[in-house]
Amino acid sequence: MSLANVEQQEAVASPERFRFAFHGQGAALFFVIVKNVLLTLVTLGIYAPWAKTARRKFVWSSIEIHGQRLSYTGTGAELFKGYLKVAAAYLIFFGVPTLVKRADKNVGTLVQIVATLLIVLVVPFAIWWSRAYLLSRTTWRGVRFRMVGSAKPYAKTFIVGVVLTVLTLGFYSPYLANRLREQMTNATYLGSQPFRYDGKGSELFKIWIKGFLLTIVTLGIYSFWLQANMQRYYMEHTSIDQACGRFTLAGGDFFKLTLGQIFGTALTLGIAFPWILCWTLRKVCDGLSFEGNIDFTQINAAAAHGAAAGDGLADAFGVDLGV
Amino acid sequence: MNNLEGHLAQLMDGKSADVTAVRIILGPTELVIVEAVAGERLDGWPLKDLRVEVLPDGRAVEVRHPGWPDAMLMSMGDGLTEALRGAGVRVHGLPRGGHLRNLLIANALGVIVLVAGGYLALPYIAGALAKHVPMTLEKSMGDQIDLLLDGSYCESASGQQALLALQRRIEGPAAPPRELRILNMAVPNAFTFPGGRIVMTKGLMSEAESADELAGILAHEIQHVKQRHIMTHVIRGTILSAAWAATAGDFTGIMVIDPTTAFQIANLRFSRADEESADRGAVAMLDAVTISRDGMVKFFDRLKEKSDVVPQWLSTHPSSARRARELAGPGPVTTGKGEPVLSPAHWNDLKKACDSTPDDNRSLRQILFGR
Repeated sequence: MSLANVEQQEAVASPERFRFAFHGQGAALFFVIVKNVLLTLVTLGIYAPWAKTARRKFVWSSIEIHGQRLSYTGTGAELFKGYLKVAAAYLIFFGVPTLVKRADKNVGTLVQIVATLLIVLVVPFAIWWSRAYLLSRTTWRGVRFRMVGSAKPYAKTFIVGVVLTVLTLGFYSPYLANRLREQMTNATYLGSQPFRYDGKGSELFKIWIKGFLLTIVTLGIYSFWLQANMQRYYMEHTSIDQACGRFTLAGGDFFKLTLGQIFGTALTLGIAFPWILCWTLRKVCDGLSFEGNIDFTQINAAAAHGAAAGDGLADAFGVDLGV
Repeated sequence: MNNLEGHLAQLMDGKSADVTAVRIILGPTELVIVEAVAGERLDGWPLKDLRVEVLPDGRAVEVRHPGWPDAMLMSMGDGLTEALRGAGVRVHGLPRGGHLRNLLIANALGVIVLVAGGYLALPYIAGALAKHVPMTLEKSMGDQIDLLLDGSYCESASGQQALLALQRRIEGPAAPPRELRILNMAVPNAFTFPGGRIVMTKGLMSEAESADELAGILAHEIQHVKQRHIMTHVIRGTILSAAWAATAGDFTGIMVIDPTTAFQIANLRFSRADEESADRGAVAMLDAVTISRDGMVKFFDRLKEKSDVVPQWLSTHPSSARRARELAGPGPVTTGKGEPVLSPAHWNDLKKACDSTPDDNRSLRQILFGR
């Protein structure tokens, strides 16, 4: 976007459509990945947090929202420290029960069960803290994103919701997804400006049950449209200031993306991964936008908190937050 | 000051989300920021310590200064990068064009050399490390497996004595007794558990047609213990998994074909190498105590009909046909002489070791994990 355009948009107090765009190129990402692999091998894995940071910097800075790039300000060093903390916690969780078991088998087994339960209970906290870390290291228009509030209510919703989902044979899952989305989004801020989510569990349930039944009837094919409809619902009920989210990707787009990913990775044994990732992100960003007014002069920077250990924890549990 | 001077940019002060259109003018020691239209000076950042980064697509340029930690200038190129370089400022960012291609080739070659070198060196590294792991630690791992097998062994004192007699015949009368057990499992097989316990199945006892055959199999398992193959396998798997997780593990979530399969297949090659090494060691042991290796050869010959259905490259063991071929040739097969491998009474005890135990048709996985 040229400066003239920006000036024009700034002159109109509140632009009406905030489009997303992805500018990353597969060849450049391929270089980032190959360099990461090389340095990680040479350093026997120590470089891994720096590698992750380099990859994030690439992806973040390739995303443009309304003429301004996202910026990732996290560092490999802080991620490394976070990983060390998580590794120490892991040693305690797995080491202590083993030591106790040597002294007393029965007590050791009990401690092992308690430790395993605690590890499972930490999962929702890991998701929350990791997102808090990622947001606190992401800036747009020079202002940091952030999460406010405690992870406890989210964890409570998560744990109770998982139990209810199991008890209802999965039928509670759309209500749970909606509630989790609501808690996460409503805790998210761009500087001083909060995001809002006003989706309803009952509405999401209607989308889900229709999609679920059609997925069975169509032998799974409708699952792409179900996915697209759910994402559209989430976005269209997400807002910031006076601007509301839009998502224009349809089931057919999800189908094409999935096919492209399957054949692209399978036929090239994964070598085409950087190009496929860039293509996927470009398509997703093309389908994302916010419509309405945002008064940027009223959005002020605010202190953001987020520990890298949260990211390490999410990594340890294999929780993929996506981009 | 001429307000058309300098390079167009956007200033984000980090205090609010408002963006100001500015021009950047490079002075001898500082970067001057002026308001784009009115030309009013807004700020000046020393050139020293400027952090300039060209974004990955090569279009946008980010300029920051540690003295203004939250502020950022964003330019869409406009010759700013070249001007900054000309002023002696270091510009960061991904290489482009021919430089990118050369660096990419150099990095890719580095990765190939490291991966190939690591792959070739892995068995030696894992083997050397395994020798330094105390056997007591390995035994504690084996005890955990043993707990799961509790109640699945054939409890026959005479069968146990016969197995120990076979071990003494192979390793010599002065050899310390090994932990040898017979598992109540119909599938003919033999395993070595961490810590050195050797387990032979009831199915193997039934399948074996001579004591020579059992001697060959026991010698093979003893070699696994002596060469610390179990701990080597554990260490090798750990190194491979760690290498994978540390390098490309991030991406497994979005890859349709899990590339860890490649590592598993790679590990199978090492596993087959261990089996071949144990075969060679077993033959040397049998030759040393003049036990015919005919038994081993015949056993693998019979087994090839049943077991060689999986392609070798996907198998943990070399094919039975190949094993029989390699054990039989090219040298002469030693003919046993002197004392028999087992007395008729001991052979009979082994064959009947599980007679008082009800048949169990479960696989080892089902016995261990209940499914």
